[in-house]
Amino acid sequence: MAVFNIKSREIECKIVYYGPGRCGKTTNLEYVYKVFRKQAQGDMVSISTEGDRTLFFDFLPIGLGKIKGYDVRVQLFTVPGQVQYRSTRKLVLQGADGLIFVADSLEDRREKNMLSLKDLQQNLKDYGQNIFKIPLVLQYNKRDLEAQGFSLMSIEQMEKDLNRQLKVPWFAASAATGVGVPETLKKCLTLTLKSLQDQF
Amino acid sequence: MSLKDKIQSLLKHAELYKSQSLIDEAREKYEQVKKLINSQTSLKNKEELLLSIDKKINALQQESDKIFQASSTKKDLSPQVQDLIKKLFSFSKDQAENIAALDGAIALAKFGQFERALNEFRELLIHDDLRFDAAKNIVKCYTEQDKLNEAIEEYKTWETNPLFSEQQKDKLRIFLQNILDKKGINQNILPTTVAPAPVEAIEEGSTSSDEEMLDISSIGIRIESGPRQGEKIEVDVSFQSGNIVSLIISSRNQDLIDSLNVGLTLKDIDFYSPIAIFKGSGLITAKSKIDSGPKKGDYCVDLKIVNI
Repeated sequence: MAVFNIKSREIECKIVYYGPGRCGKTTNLEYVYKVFRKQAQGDMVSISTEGDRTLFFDFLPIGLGKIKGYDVRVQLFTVPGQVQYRSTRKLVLQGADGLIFVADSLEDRREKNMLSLKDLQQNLKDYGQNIFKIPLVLQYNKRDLEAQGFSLMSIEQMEKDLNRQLKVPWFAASAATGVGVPETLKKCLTLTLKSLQDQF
Repeated sequence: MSLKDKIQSLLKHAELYKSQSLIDEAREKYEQVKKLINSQTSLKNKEELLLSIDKKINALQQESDKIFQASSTKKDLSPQVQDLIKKLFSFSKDQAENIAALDGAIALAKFGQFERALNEFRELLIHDDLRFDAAKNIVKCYTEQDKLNEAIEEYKTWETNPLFSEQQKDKLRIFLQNILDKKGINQNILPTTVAPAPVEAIEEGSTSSDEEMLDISSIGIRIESGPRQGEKIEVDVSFQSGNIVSLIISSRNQDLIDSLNVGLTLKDIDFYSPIAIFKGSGLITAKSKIDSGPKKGDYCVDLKIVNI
């Protein structure tokens, strides 16, 4: 939930990267940390387990500078994607102002993408939020693997599977190389700040 | 695609999945390779190939076991990360310091940092307004760790602690006893000097005062008109003050909303409390539409419990 401090002219909001296990949420955040280190307002915190799986969350605070006279700070989080961490995922999602759903483009991960999006919708619903109303951007990750001869879903297929009803902005990306990562975040930030402006 | 190409493609995918820790997907690809090899009758080195694939599958299984073991092992985080969790997952930033402290301790418990959470809950026991919640959360921490004997021992110290009122002790006893019963632990923590008040003793029609009122977590209401007439719907209690419970009813349950008018007495309500379900009746005292926020469009209905 965004925090407005009119007196000190500060806005703090929360963006959460969501998606199935091993889809590249942490890799997204690592890239953001690497490239936008100047904007980082602290170190990136990762609480992971064996095999570099996110156990609780990753966290990166960044500053966007002054926007309309307000100092805007953003907390970036990733949720643990593995199915068994449902309660932690829900906890991290709480109070999100904007969302980035990272989908895995690998053909064999099609069902996991859909289940994770359904899980997101249900968790938002439990918090009284509507997936159709919250600022949301889709990212179709791992697109670089196509050039290496791996079977990926087409963008059309992923749009049909995940974005047919939502009709939200989407980006093809490769978190490993950084392609599409800043664009995804930038779009989500724009939508989130616009939504906050409309609300308050 | 030739057999060789097919096998190579499957192995390439399996290796990629393995490198990305997509264990199930990697295993599936290796199994497909095995199936393909098995279907060939005139393949040279067939047995050797199968053996090598089996080795890869076994290695995957070991990795999978390691990941499972790591994920099920309790992870104690550094004090710095614990502080961060308290800061990031306390949602009462603008409230009093004590409430924020309780919220922070709850956040620690939710992330499995029980040892520090327990210490912080214990420190909060000195505050009158937080004592009951802090004590309840101490019991919850022990429950999460399957350390119910320690919960009982700590509860016993509260029994003789003058800080706790008799009412608080009673509520905590019921709370803990309910957990013990649920877990199938045959231990009665009711003090021998106090006669237990069995659930069956609460009879329908007995009037409850504010002080005696049990915590009601949800209620079941029967729709009395419309196409869904007769259907029973369970609604969570969002807030309780004595014998008044506030309910948030989703706009999807329009039939139920339409049938609940101020002044109406509902004679067939199920009151779900932590210890049992009680039958009773209630009077609708207020009904209003939520105009803003995430629950916009839903209704808030206040129900006065007439008898239980």
